[in-house]
Amino acid sequence: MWQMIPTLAGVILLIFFLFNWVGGDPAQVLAGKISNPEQIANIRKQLGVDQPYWYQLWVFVQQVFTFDFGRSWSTNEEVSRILLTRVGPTLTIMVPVLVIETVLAVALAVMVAYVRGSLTDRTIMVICTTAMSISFLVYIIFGQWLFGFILGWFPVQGWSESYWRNLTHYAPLPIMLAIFVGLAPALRLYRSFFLEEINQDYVRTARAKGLPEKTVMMKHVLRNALIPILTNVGIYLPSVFVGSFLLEVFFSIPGLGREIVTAVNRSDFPVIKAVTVYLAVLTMIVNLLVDVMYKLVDPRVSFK
Amino acid sequence: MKLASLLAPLAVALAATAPAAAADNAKVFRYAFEVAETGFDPVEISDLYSSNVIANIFDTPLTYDYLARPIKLVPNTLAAMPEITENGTLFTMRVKPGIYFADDPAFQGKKRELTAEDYVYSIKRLFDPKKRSPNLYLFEGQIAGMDEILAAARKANRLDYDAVAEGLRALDRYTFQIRLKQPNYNFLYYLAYCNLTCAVAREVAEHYGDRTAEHPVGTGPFRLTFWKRSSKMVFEPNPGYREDYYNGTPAPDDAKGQAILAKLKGKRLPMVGRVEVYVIEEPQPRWLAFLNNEMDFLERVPNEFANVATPNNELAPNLKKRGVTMERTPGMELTYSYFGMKDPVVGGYEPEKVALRRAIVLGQDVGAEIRIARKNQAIVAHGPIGPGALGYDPDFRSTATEYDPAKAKALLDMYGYLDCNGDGWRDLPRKDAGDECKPFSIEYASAPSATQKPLDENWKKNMDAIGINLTFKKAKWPDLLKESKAGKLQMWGLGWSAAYPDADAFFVMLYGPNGGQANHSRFNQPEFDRLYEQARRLPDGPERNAIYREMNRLFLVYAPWRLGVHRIYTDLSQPWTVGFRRHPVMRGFWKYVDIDQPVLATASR
Repeated sequence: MWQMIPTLAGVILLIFFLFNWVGGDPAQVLAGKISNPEQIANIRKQLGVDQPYWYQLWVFVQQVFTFDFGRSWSTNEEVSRILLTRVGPTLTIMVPVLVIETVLAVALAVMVAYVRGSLTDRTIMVICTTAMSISFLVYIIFGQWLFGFILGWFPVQGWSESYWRNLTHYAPLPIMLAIFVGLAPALRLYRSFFLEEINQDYVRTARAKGLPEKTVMMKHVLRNALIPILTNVGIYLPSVFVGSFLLEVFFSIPGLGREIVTAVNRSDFPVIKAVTVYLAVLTMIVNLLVDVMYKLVDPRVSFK
Repeated sequence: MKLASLLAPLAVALAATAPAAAADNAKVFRYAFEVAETGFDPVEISDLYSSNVIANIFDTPLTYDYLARPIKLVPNTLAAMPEITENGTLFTMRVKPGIYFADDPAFQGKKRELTAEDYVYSIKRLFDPKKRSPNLYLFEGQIAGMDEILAAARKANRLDYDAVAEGLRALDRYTFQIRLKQPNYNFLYYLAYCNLTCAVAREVAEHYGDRTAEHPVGTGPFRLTFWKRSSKMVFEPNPGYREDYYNGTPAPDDAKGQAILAKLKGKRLPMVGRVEVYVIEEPQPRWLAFLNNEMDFLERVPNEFANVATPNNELAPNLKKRGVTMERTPGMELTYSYFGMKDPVVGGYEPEKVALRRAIVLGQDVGAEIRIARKNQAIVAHGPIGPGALGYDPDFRSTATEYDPAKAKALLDMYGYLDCNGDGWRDLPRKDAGDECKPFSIEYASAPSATQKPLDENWKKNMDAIGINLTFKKAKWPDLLKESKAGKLQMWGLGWSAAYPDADAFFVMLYGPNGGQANHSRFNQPEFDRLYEQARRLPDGPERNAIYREMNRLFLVYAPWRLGVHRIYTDLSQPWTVGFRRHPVMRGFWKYVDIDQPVLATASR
């Protein structure tokens, strides 16, 4: 828990120095192609980037602790509002993706681990390898064209104000494509977790006791394999909150992923720093929760 | 029965006094932006898409005749064209009475009439340091008395809106006057450019403060009724919009313009009851949404689909069969690659430096760029003025810009750019044959984007062919902009879209005193600057065009840029979308568009 403080301090310093040393001058960008030094000086003054570094850093620290990142430099919209309004569409897509993909991957992994070495296992592994070799972009372009345009099963793109309409009308195609892409690597990985557990002594003992194979797999193997699976889901979880830029751009979903890339392209530092800090905090919280979950899954795990 | 018979004449009288049929709510016009909007405060924005929106919500004093080509300014909220006196420095304008802002809580339930003071206030907003207006450069140094107010505002970080400037004031409720420091006949175009002169009510700006960009309240034909940033915008007709009827003066030989006029003349504007604008950044969903009839109009066919939509620059047969119509218009814009004129290798005015630049110009194949990278969605630029701008000569041709690698090589040989060390690349000229070889390379700055890659490849291939070692400096646009303004780039490719339809909007990028600002190359040629200043004092006409021709000649001689292309906009309308005509500079076109509902109903079936 206490590790979170130096981690956050490191994130703040890193963002601040990266922006000031590597990032473009926002005043030049906002002034446009035609500007004079007075205009640029005025914009720097309005943005506060004419202040000494230590002062800018102090303002940044205050912003982190008050969760008030001011307004976007390019759109003048409140940064907190940007985050709040964009995170909903992102979660509408990414939460179903995470849940369905994890459930499917775990279920399929148990099944293929159960029939390990068989033709079914090998065929599924070949399909997974092939699926993993294809770029996400190809899935999106082809899926949008086939399911949205040619077959007309889903709208090509769009988003509405109704959560249910989004979930039932606009979200299914991007969710489906994201699952297609994510399922193969997850399935391979989880299969390897299960195989590792299957070869453990306690499994052999369970079988020797005469337990049915179903009980061995579902009660013993699955439970022990859940720890690495949980770790993997935990690593993936923060990305659920920032979304998939490609999905959001191709399906016109007003989510956070799209907003982050736009902010980077516009050198919109208030948005960039807010998102980065938000993501860092989220990652730390998720890691903490995953640690707690280990204890729930496996009582042998100690917090010491 | 008795009551009905009593009320009948009253009903007839009311019907007679009511305005002609207004927008039909069932008519919805849907289309997509390829880039997200940023906001709707006219003085704060400069991006194309937000500018397109505000032009439909707010009103400038002047506007353009939508169908007239060449373009023609006409009064919008003014009773007549401005009275220009004192050698083109004093503009007196009278606002038409009876124009009202759309209702808004900022007006506290009262009808708010547009007055001369609104224009004075709105122009002053450009000078407000807190607004950080990217459009201020067009007014800075122009209006008598405003530079002093600006200096004081920058010092105090606050603009005194009540300070009266000699050159910007309301004479009475409906009359206002602008006095310029020197004649500028292009000023008339500023009066039709929404980012500069659209009327914003002071009560609205003060009521919403920092959030004015989220609450656009104008006197124009539409009002914003729904906005999900970077995703969807919905506009409905402004209920208080004045009586405005379709009219225009297309040229007699302009068959398409005449047909639109014949169909729509006399209709009450706006004609559609709702405009829905979506932000679809990727070309594929934008294209498929149009094909799927989810959009009524496709603005700028993406280059990726140009070969499918317009093979050989003709509308594809399948689209023609569906009744889709196409409009191809060269944009009033230009792409160019500049040479840093202060750079020790490519800059300078000595004969061998000029020769090097001219050889590079001759050695670069713009035609290939158009075919391969731009999918024929562009035409070669033969001069620095964009098509449609006053001063643009479509027939102008020069051997200085043609692609001729043999001539380029001969020119380099003649001025001593030879490969003296045998490494395969040309070296700098030597005074004596015994001098040490001086290798050189040229660094071309470009953004690391997919669209830039084929352009870079074309440059590299062309320069390799004439023996010039071209390398690339890859960085993001904001970083390159910073370096360019600091004069650190040897070459950089840029694009420029004119804010007003005059050659001045392009030559401003070559005027010496603008070095490091609009003039990225820092081209500084006294004769060119003298002619530029002379042209600014003249109205459009043969005398000014002669000066522009001479400026063009000087530009080609010194070659501070490699001219690129004028991009062509290919717009597609569904069979039921009527009346779209791309205007070179006018952005508020929604009120001129209609939806033919019987055709739409047939297509839906």
